[in-house]
Amino acid sequence: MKSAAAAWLGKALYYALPNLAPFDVKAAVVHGQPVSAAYVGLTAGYGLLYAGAMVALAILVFSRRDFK
Amino acid sequence: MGGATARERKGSVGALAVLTIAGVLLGAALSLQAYREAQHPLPPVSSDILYFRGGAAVSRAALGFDALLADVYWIRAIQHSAAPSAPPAARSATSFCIRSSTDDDARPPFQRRVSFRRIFLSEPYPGGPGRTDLAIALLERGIAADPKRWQYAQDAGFVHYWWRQDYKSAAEWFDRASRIEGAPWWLRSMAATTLAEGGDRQSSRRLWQQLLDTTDDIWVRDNARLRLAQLKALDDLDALASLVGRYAQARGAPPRSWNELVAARWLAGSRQTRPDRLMS
Repeated sequence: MKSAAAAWLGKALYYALPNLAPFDVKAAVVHGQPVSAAYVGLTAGYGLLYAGAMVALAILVFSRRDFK
Repeated sequence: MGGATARERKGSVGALAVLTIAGVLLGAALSLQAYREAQHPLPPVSSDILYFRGGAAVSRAALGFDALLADVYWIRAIQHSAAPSAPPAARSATSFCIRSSTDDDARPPFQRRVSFRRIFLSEPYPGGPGRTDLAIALLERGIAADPKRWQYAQDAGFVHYWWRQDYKSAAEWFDRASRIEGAPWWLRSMAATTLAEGGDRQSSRRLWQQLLDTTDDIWVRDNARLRLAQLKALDDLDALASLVGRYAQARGAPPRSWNELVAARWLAGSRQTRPDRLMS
């Protein structure tokens, strides 16, 4: 990418948005490439931590709403 | 007032705690992601491939265009396996693909497909796999399934004639076709002409013109038109070369441009506008 700002923005979005691609291991499986337990563990850990962060943010947002 | 302030302060502390937890969790998640990417990079997959787990899924994805999808798949599979970089296993898969699809092709509703496929199979890469042997095998299986269909024998002769330049075999197939009940009279003379003058453009033109006149398949028709145009271009090239030779002999030097031939009234019109009009 030529623009440094665009590159920075792209990288920020890459980390801020949920990265679901690592959960899809179909291509690796059909090509006979091994998917290690460590990979599965790290990916699952990422999913749990990211989901936990999103739940915490949701708690923060909804605790300030008046639903009465 | 004091109670409300205390409640607000408590709420702010709670919000800050939740925000901190969210930040820590997100930071941990991103760190884990960075660590995983560093330790376990997934090997890149060179091409986008869509896998279906069964025929039912493919049928649903085809949205009713099953026959069209089957033809596209057939063509793409053969082109892929015929590529120069294709491994030997893919090449043998081509043979399997042909064999497994030919039985259905031989039945009456699919006879047009045989005509299309034998031309496609014979065309050299990338227009086709360049497998004249498979085209002949396809036609032989068609003849075995429907011995009265003289067109298969004629097509086999065509493959030998055009792509293999094996005029003896071509003549044998034309002769075989002419002996089948209902075959047109000209097949017998075609066999004789092919044997006597194999390779001449007039015979080629007759074959392609006959194919153009009888097919209702768009791809086959376009292919026949292209071949006829190529034959005409070869005729034109010969005529122009002969003209230039005669001009050089008459004037002592070859022409420097087409305009010189036009000015001398040896050629009607310019090369760009009237390429096919020769005056002598």
